Amino acid sequence: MPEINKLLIFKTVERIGESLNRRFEKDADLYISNQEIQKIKNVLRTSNLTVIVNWFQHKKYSPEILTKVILRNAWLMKPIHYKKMNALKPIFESCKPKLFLEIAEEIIENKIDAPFDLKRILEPLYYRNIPVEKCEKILEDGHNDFTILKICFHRTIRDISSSNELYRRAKEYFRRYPKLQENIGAIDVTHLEENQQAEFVKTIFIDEILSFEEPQQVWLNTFNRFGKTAFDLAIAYFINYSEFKDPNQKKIINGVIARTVNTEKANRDYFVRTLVILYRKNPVIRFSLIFGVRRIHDPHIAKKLIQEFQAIGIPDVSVMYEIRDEILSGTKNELIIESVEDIYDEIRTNSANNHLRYVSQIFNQKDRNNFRELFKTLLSEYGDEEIVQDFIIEVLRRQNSSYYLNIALDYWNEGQDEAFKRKLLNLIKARQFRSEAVRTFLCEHDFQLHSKIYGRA
Amino acid sequence: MALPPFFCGIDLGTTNSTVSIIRTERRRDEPMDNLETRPIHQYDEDFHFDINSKVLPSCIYFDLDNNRVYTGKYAKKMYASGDRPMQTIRSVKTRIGGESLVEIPKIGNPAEVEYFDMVQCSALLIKTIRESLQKQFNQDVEEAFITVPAAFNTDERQATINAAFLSGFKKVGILDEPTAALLYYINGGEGDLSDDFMSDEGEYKLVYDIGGGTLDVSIAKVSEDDEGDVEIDIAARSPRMDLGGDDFDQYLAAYFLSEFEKSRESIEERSKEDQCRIIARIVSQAENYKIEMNKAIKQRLGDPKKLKRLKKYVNFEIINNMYIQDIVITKKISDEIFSGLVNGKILKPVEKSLKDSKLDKSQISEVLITGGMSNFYAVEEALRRFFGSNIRLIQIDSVTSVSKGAAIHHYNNYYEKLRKIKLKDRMADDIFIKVGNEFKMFIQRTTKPDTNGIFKYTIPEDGFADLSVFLYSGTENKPEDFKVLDGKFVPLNRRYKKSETIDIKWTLNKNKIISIEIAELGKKLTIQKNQYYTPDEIGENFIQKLKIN
Repeated sequence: MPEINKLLIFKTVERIGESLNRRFEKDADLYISNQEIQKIKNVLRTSNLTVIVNWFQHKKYSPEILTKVILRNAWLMKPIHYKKMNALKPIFESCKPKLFLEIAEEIIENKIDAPFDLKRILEPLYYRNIPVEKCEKILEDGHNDFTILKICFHRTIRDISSSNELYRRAKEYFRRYPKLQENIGAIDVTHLEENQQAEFVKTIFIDEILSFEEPQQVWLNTFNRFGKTAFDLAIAYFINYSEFKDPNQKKIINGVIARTVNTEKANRDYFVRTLVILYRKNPVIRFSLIFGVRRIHDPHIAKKLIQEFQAIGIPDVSVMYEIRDEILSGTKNELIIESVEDIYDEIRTNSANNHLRYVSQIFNQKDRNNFRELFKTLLSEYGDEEIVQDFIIEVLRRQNSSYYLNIALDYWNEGQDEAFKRKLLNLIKARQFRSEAVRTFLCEHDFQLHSKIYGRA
Repeated sequence: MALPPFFCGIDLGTTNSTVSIIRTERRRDEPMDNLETRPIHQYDEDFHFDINSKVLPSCIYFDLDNNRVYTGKYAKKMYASGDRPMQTIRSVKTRIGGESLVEIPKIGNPAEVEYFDMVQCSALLIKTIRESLQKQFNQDVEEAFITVPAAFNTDERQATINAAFLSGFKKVGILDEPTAALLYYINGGEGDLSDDFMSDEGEYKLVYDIGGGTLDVSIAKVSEDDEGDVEIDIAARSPRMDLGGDDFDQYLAAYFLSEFEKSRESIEERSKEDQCRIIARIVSQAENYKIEMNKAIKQRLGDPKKLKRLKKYVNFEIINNMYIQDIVITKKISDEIFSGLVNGKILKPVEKSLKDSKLDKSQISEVLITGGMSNFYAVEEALRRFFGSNIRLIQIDSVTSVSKGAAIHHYNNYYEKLRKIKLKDRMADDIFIKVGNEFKMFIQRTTKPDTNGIFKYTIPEDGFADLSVFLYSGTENKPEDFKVLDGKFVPLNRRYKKSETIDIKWTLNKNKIISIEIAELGKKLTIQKNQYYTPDEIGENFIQKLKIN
């Protein structure tokens, strides 16, 4: 009788076990024992999410199985800070989209009592992966959460292949959701065929840039993304041009030409050459071109252009010489803000001519720590003045950050100024800020809006 | 109460499944005379449609390219061949109730995949059974009792019910496998009962249930009441143990493989795919040799000389003209091979149950052995050695007793003729509601059906936009072990301050369905066990697109 080597048999059993698992390959990845599920559930209850993240990073479990166990048991989780919750995001992002959609749906559709912030993390990932028809439906029906509308807008647009249709639909969505127009930056049309892109840029130029109204930022940004093509279209507008009082002149030179020169570095020599030719050929737009040079950020380019213009001839008007000197000497007047008083003076000076946006832009460019302090001091020193409140709202709009809004809400809580409250409410309504302070503020002062933003029913 | 066309019991096993029915034409018909195990239609190993086989190997082969699924013998053959590793699965039962999934790629286009969870996989097996019965009797089959290991937890039981619903059953009950086997036994399914089966004071019986993948042991105090029904009080139940016939197959396969590698070459020199294929084939062949060897040993048990002379030669192809040749197995070799399982593992749950019930093995009057591996000689010998010769070991038909017991149980739900088991029910769960971060007792488990009450929901903090009315079941306030029932968010109509209360009126009806009314919010909800599929979800589930067999 052969001798039985039990140790060898035991080792071979292990090999067999491994092989039987491996034969399912993915099955092994997607397998989790009930004991291990229990382990994850215990961790979810204690909110010690770093443990789960570690398991994911060390590949103890596949993202698919982790996503499934976490989301199915999300009701166990206590509300924790959004940032802590966000640590789970890479797990969800790594989960295969098809599976993720199936699993996340229960939370998205409120079938599980999951923490609000978990749902917030899931929503963008979910809506980025759903079929585009669902996105269209959401845009048709509307949605409480602006982020979702934004995602659906981009998804829908990316699925349209005709330039005319794309323009029509974008306009329609902007009409229905003005906030989209203010918030999406630019429309990505890189998926369009080349000829459709060419058609699209022409459409924007004619229907948006040259329209009677001031073009919306989104269209200007989209147009400028076309770089040299956009620049050439704008230049072509001035060929054989004789309209001295054309309102489009300034708009095109500042909004399109100067911006394209700023953003598209690769073609700058070409831009300079072309602008010099235009300057030489068309005296009618020389004023606007010189003003436009002020908008060019790179001092070398600006200087070069002014030098070339000067060689051709500067219009004999004092302001033109001033601009020339300013650019050539590199002493462009910059607003210097060092104290609350400086900013207050600027607000007072500019509020009359509606330039608060400009001041807030300058204000935002200050270094972060200084800015925070200035913001707080400005509120405490001058916050009861209407022009300062308007300015604060403008800053909040530009910052788009709950942090500063929370400071403003703290300030409001101290004084409870009714007018400022209305302004804050309007801002929150428009931007749908979310934070604990906002939640409490809304619950107390606009329960309907509170339910709209924070409700899940 | 409308009667089903017949009473149906399904033993959904890790390795094999069976279905038994009681079909009585007239009221006076004897149910036990009409108890039978029915064939389950499936393709056999040679791809012939088999309408006679009463055992369905619990294997699934997915051919998603043709929206088709094969269950049973043909699927088992495909599994064993190792040729379709990504499209074949088995041992679903050991994974049900968890979150495991299988990713099944199409054969022609592996990039196209579908995911199936264990509920869906189990549903495919149950659907095979249901459709077979429908074809045989040309009528719809909507009710059944399905058996599960006694150690299955709530999730596993729930998942099994869900699988049955998904397969098309409309009314489903769950029964523990040992209870089903016992039920079959007490109704004389295995011949006459011994006279001293039950005494008035009750006796302790140990039910040893070892299947293809699970082993569970229950110790029950069994007594007879005045009506002749059997009362069972579960004294102890072993925790879930994933051990069964599959493990014996793998030990024997390990012996074959190690012997082959000693004399020939290590298969580890070959590609991973080849290794997987070889191992799949060896394990599959090991199962066959295990069955043959067991049969031969049992035939010779009374004759030590013959038993000593017993030799089995093992020969089969493992891959492309490479053979395992003339490996010898004798009883002694077999004992040695399985010693790791027999000595170390298969008695553990017995010891544990005895300890938990604070009983000595001498207090056990009988040991009832059931399950697919119950007639394996090594299992019997181990139990015999442990309990000694004074305690009776009773084999209950390993293949069909469980499904037959389930069919009897189904029958008992409608008629009084057969002996019943009155299980001293384990306590039902308490119902909890989540308030903020806390889980509060909503309805106590001692509450009787047809009762109502009011729960005062205390707003835990300011800033609530809606009320989350989600219910959970569990026995202690240990949320990690809770099971989600159902729930909804109900919008608040005004700002509620912290500590304000809202009355939630609940009603528990006869079917343990909870209705909820929140008068001040004008809302009514009905909450029942979650994860029961809605008719729409059943209709839309991907498995309905698949033709089975």
